[in-house]
Amino acid sequence: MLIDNYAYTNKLRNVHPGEKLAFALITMAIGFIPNLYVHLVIIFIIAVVLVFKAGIPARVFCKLLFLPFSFLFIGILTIVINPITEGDKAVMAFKVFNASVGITQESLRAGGLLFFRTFALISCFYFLSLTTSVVDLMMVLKRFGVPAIFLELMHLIYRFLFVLMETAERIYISQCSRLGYSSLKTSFYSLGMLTSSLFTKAYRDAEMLHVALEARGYDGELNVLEGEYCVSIKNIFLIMVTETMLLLLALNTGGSFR
Amino acid sequence: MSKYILEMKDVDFEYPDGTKALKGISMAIEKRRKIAVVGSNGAGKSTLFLHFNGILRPRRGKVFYKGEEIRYTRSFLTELRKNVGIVFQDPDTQLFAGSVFQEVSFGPMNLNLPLHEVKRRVEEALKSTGTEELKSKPTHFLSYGQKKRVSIADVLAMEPEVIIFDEPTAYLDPKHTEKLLEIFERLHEEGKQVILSTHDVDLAYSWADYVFVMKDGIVVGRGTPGEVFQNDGLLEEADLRRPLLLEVYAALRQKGFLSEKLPRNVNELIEGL
Repeated sequence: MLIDNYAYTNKLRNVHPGEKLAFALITMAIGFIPNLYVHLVIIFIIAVVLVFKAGIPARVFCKLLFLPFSFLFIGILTIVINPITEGDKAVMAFKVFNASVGITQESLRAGGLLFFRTFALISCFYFLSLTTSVVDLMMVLKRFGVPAIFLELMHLIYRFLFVLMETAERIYISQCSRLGYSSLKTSFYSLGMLTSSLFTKAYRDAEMLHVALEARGYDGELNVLEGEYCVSIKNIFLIMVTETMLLLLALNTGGSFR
Repeated sequence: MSKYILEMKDVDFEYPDGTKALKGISMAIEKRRKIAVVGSNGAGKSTLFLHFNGILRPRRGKVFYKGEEIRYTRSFLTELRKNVGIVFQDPDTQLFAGSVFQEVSFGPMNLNLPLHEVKRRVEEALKSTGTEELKSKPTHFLSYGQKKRVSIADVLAMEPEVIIFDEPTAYLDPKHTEKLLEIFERLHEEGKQVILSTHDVDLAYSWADYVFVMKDGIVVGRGTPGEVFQNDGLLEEADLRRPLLLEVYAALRQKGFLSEKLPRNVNELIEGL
């Protein structure tokens, strides 16, 4: 898993996860202000931080950024193209049966804004997932008082995602080497077998895990030691400055809170 | 004080699906001895071990720890599991945490120790298994050999008196196996009781002080490695074979190249020539 690898190897991994979460969330919140400049600056800031501070290859970030592109494009189309009435100034219009549909300047603006806003928010999200591991994130969530049961579930699901992925891969390879996917019919059959054996395997693993945990004194709570991080005043200051600048930018370029 | 650290008397165990895994097992494990339990697959070795720290409860018979009968109450079991640790065969089913550090801290955290003590134990366990540099790595980044060592650190961090290894060398390459043997040796020197199960007769022969042979849920033989592994009838009954070293020793002795002293490893064999 690409993103997960970076979460453990990036240069910001030793920064307090709370700081990273705060930066991502506050920037995200500001990203909701409908202002093109703010969106662009956010994307720029995150890109700079990720590439130069966290050491994520620019190519990787770009690739990730364009991952939701097709999905986004279809979503935007439905906003850009609207039914238009006589009075509207259309940039482009065409007739579908009796109604006329087209693109107006306003819809174009709305679509464009949404497009960049999405990218701004997605980059905030990527910032968090590329620099902060799930393990660290859970530590912060625990401090925020998220119930232990959710966190334990999160912990186990996270771990077993990889165990299952590995198992699935192994089964897949062994099926392939016996021509399990050579035709459509066998492919369906093999895939079915893979899924069902994955379920039974998951069940057995869960049972084994329970035994192993019990052997180490498990009594219904998964207590583990948390990582140690130092809160950096400098980072908090930088985050505050960045967010204030973003807000000022929004105010001065006609962004509105209304 | 009993001279046995772990003891079992007439223990029967049956899994819910009706498989009779243990059929009236009696065994006593003497303190400070390196114990190997050998037997083919499905002989009941893993089931036996799960009785030693109270995970499984015998249907009939009794289990003792340091001469005291195991009671299946919460407090007794907690105390027992603190002292008897099991390293499971498949590290993937034992490791649950996201990062190595967290994984190893789970056991000591359950002992309700102060945090600095937990930390000290984790550091120490990581050090003695040579996994310190993996500390902040996520568990799924590790190779099989690394996972195995982390799963050992898991148990060491609880500082138990007895450590049971279930098929520790399964799937391990020779280098990792050797490292593992070093760990066993060190644990033994530190005064810990090491028990392992294996079907690797060569390993059992050269490592153990005392060997139990299991077959279909009963102990079919016991004794020093020299006694057990020269008893061909017993080995055949248990679907095992003679250690290679002993085969060579027997052949060389027949030709008159060797003295009577049984070699425990290749070096001793060569010296005897």
